[in-house]
Amino acid sequence: MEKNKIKLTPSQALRLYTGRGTGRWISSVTGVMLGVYVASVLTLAGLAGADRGFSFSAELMREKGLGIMVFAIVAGTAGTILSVMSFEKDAPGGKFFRSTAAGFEAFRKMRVGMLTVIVASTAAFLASVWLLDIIFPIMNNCTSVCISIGSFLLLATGLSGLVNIISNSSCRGIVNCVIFMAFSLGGAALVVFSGGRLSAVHAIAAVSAAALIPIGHRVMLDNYREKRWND
Amino acid sequence: MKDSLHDLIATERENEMKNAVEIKGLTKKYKDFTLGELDLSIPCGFATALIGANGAGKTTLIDILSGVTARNSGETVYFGDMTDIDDGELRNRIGYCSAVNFFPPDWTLRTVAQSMELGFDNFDRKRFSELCSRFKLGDPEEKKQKKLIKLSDGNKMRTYLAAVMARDTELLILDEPASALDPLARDLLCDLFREYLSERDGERTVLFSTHNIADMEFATDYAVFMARGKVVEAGYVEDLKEKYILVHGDGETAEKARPFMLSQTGGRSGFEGIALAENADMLGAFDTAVETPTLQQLSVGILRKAEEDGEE
Repeated sequence: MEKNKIKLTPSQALRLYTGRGTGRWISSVTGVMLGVYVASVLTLAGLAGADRGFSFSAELMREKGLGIMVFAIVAGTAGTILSVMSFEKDAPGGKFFRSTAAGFEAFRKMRVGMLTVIVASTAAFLASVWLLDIIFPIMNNCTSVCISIGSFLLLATGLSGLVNIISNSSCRGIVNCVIFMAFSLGGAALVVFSGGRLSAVHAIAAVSAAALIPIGHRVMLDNYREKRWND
Repeated sequence: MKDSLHDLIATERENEMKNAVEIKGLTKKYKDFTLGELDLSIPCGFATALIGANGAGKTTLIDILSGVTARNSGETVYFGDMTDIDDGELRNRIGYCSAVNFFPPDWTLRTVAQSMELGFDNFDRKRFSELCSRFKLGDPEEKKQKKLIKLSDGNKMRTYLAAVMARDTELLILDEPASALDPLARDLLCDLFREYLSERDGERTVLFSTHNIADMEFATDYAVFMARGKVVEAGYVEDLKEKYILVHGDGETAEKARPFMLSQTGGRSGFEGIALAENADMLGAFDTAVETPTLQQLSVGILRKAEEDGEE
């Protein structure tokens, strides 16, 4: 039965809840991640030997794997930050969002929008860092690192949907943070220890993520509707 | 004004009373609080005030009626035949706003307008601009705008009210709309309620909770008194003022009057309280003064009685 006349796109539903559509979210999250990444790299470069010039610092960061470590940590933040956002009734805007004509359909679309933001901003960040590394190389095997971290973060995004059934918000936030950081760092470490080679593990991670993301999303929605939407 | 209100009430009753909302056996259970079981009707065409102490269940009831919170049991019928609060058509007919944080704090008037347009298909931007102007909030189309977080609580509530009243709805459900407002804004709110109701005579309804009973009396036609999750009294204000009397007298007569009073306060210097009008002659014999109570005095009396009953 068609209950709600209002048709919202995921971007509109996200705007209804947060005041920003997916485009603005993706650009701002990617921008913040890039800003944090560049600031961290410059700080590390400065600490690693600014007196001997940038090329020396870059070489040192490549050798010690510092560039990859910073990259992996920042890459995991988009998922961490966005997955701990509160959608509770008593959060600011929560009651307005629940009272709108589209009802739970707006929430469902909003979560699709949020998922899009996590995946797209992470992908945009990985692509930007890959381009930056062509100009100022601070990582060995950057292409493999990007693919490895990307596939593992997709898997983390799928798992995050399942984690969202945890009702305690602090606990949920901590578990999400651990998952995104562990998968991002794990993805980077896998490439470092395999000498830059991609393996079947990456393909399995990507395929698993493709299956897990819709499953996790569905589980989260069903659980949320039953237990938290209008408790 | 009073006469016209009387006429309006009489005409409505003659035309077979319609209810905007009919609540049957409604309950909502939390760990430390239970609402209901409630049976209540909100008459169509009038402004109904939900009156009760903090924790009486007003916000829970309002949240359930507006679809923000789910009930555990019972039925709610809107406009005579609509029962599914998840139905978008019904939600479009209801205008709701909460007492605090209705919109995120980083929104501006422009963001509010954009989101209301997305959320409902009956939001009128022009009307929103007019209401913003009447509430002295500024122009929502202006380029530079203040975020809600930088507004006072009163101006935040004005923003919520301008947004919800800019929609073409048939039922307004407002949680504590007057609490954060200054006296002038409360007066404007009363005027807006009257305008809203008279624009479509008899077809629109306002339901609001309030602690500012004296200021909102002018806007209240029907009152529902709640205590400990239950409705303890409900009726048209004019009827309630005939049903109850305000009694006061000196300290010596307080004890004599007590058996005929519903609730009373006072000490040696004198007492005041409410009683059923049918006891007026009896109380008059004790040298007490009897008056028609204001809604504020009625509320204090009825809620105090409910409190005393709850303690027994």
